[in-house]
Amino acid sequence: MKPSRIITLNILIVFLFLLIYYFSANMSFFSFFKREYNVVLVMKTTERISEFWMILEKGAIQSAEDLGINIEITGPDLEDNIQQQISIMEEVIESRPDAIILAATDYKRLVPVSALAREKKIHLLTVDSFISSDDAECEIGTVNEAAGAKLGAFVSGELNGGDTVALISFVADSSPAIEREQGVRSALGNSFRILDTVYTNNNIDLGYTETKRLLAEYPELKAIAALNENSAVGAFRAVKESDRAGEILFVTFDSDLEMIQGLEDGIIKATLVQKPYNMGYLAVQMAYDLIRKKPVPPSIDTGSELITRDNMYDIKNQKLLFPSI
Amino acid sequence: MRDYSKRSSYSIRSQLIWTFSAMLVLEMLAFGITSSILFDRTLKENNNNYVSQMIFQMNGIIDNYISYMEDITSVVMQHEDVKDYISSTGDSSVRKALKPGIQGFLFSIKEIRKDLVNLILLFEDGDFISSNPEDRLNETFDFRHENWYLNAGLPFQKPYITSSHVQNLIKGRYPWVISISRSFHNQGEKEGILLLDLNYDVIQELISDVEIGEKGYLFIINPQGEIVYHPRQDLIYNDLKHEKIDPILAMKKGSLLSRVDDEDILYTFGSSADTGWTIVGVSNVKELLSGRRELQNFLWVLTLLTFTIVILISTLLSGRIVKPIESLRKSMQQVEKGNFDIKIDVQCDHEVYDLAEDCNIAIRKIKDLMLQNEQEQELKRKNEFKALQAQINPHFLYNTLDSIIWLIEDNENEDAVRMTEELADFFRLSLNKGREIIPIRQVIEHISSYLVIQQMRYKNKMDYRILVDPELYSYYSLKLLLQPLVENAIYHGIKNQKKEGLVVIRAVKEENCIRFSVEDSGPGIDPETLQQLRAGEIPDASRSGMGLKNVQERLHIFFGNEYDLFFESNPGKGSCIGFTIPLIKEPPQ
Repeated sequence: MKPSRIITLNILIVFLFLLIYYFSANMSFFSFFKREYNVVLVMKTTERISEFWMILEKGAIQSAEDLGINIEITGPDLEDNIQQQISIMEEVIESRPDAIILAATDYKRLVPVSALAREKKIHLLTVDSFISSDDAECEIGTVNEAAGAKLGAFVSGELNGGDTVALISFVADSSPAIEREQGVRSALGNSFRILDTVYTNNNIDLGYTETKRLLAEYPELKAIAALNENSAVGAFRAVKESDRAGEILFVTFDSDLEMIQGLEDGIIKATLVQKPYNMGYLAVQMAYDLIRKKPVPPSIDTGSELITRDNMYDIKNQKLLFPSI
Repeated sequence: MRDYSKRSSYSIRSQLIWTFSAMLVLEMLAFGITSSILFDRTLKENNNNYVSQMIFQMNGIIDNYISYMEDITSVVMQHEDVKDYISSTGDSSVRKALKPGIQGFLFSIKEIRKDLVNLILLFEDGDFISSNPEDRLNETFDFRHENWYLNAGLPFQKPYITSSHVQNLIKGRYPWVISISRSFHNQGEKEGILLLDLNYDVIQELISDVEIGEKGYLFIINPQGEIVYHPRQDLIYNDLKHEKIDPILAMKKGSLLSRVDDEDILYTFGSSADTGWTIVGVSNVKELLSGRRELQNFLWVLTLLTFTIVILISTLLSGRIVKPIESLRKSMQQVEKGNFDIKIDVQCDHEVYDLAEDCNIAIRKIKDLMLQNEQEQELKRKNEFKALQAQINPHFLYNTLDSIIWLIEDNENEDAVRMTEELADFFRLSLNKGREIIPIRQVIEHISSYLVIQQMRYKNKMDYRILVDPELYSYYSLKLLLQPLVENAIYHGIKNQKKEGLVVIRAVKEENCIRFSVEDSGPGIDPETLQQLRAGEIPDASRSGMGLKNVQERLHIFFGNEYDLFFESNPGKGSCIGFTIPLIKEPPQ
């Protein structure tokens, strides 16, 4: 090799050195290899009224921050706006995120759009409310049957055999409604008289009037179980107004400020509180794991707590009942 | 001895590359490890210092804040109306009169401090005065069973401070607060407490701005280990996140390396004597050492690069060294094969060039020595040759002279003259002006003279034939080769025979040589001697034996070993001894 060529080579090498030094010193050269992940959370509602969804959102945002990924939160205005959620899903799929976390407003109607997401190689997870197909790679939420059973077991423990029990559910063909009812019924067993399930269509007023009707129609009614927040609020108002408030075994799902007072006053004997914060947090974490091709369980139970007047101010339950938003 | 035949592993090139690489790797390893360790230590120390300082400041801020709130409780307790109200236990008219004033006083304090959620005087009998006149107590729960009521310190003691909790004291409101409570007594009996609820958000705001890297944060625990503030409180209560609180509580101040939730965490913490709270700084070790990762990555790239360069340079360098050596070696192999005429040119400018030059000088010297040696050998051979020639004639001369004397004595003058003439011819041809190579014609003339003399000496006892194609006369031969053979033939084949003997001299041209032979009609050679002769062992005890040996040696010396004597024998009928010489057309100079 000629000396001149060696000199050229040396200059080149020195230049390369300086270049690498420059890159590693002045900018995070190696972060170039790190990819940014985008996750979209499609909630049931973006309404700022529902505490449940605001907390779930909070959990998701915290998780995304902890993991260092981008999160976008969207959803229909109202929980029963299924068509809007479907079109939002279509838009989200267009934007090609790495993963979508869906809280399905409908058990069946969200299936085609979910399949589309999977077709486009986007990871799909469902949170709180699931879909009937197996397109979701991970389901994160309360195991509703178990939660229902927990509540049913409490009722069963407080009643005598043969007592009459009313169930107030929200939507006839929603998976959580069906599963919760199944859970309650299986825990109650055959030793009680269970009235036909009443549906409120997630409407507080309907819950109120239906409960009023039940109380009037069945004076022998010993227990009422309301299976979601809106139904519970409506039922609570009816029970509170009645002269049997505090006497009747009234149990609910979820809680809000009104119901907490009911719990303090002894009108609500117990409420089963879900953990929306955990749902949001874990959903994003699972999405992250899926994106990074880590094994993820097909379903995660975020758990629930049975809250009574006695344990409602335990420090852990304070956080569940009074989430600081 | 070491076996150098497996050379590749010892080659200069691989040795250079290996040595350089090994040196580089060791050096880089040492550099990497020491710099990593130093870097780690510095990073951790810096972080510790930074976080400790931050915690110190934070403690100061919080202490300041809390002591300000404590001062408020003091102000309230010092208020004359409040004092009077407390001391008038059971006197409802006095209390009724004082209540609006106190209420207004509390209200004005709360107005100044927006971070106060509740400022309430609570009495053992269930009475209360709140800053907000609309407040109604939540009757579901008895405040007298709450911690902040039971544990409220005496007026002269430090107030009791709770951790963060939901305050359910006032109906319909469930704020997150930190409560400060202080009891008051009347005549030695606990009369009630002053409760001051701080908006939890304020504490949160004081602290949440503090950041320790991307993933680090601060949290506060009270002496009972309960969490006063934690930015990930939801995670903690939901069991998604954990902190190692017990060892921190035990140590109060310092730092602790721990592994929590699959992450390496560095806790740095300090306690405040005022509040009893411990502020804990949490640093993510992985993040903390991310600088080291970058350093390591850089070192890796550097090592890789240097490695490539080293291999490149050592390849080049070894090439520059090895190539001339290779060419030198090839040249030397030529020399080994006997080619001394090459000049080694290694085309380089370092030591190998000098080596090659030295080799050139050595080769030249060897060549000179060989030439010199050749010349000396030549001289030596000539001298030997001359000595051999000289051995041939004396006896023949004496015998012939004797014969001449006898001829003269017998008065056979004519024969004496002829013999003398032949003898003169014989010697003239023998000497031949010192020339060794003579035409075959002269060889034949010379041998004829010899045979004539011998025939005259042995009277009619022998006859001879010379059967040489005159075509061969113009070729050259070494002189005095044929004569000893003929002498031998006469001696063994004629001399002791009773019958007349015959000597036949032939010269035949063959492809590349001329074949001379001398036949006699004697008894032949006995098989044992023949075998010896053919093996080249010629006895030189006898004179004729000496002659044959002489011929053989001269043939060898002059023409080489492939030109040799040959022997044939037919027992009882005769023998034939001859030799071959190469075809020589020109006498050498």
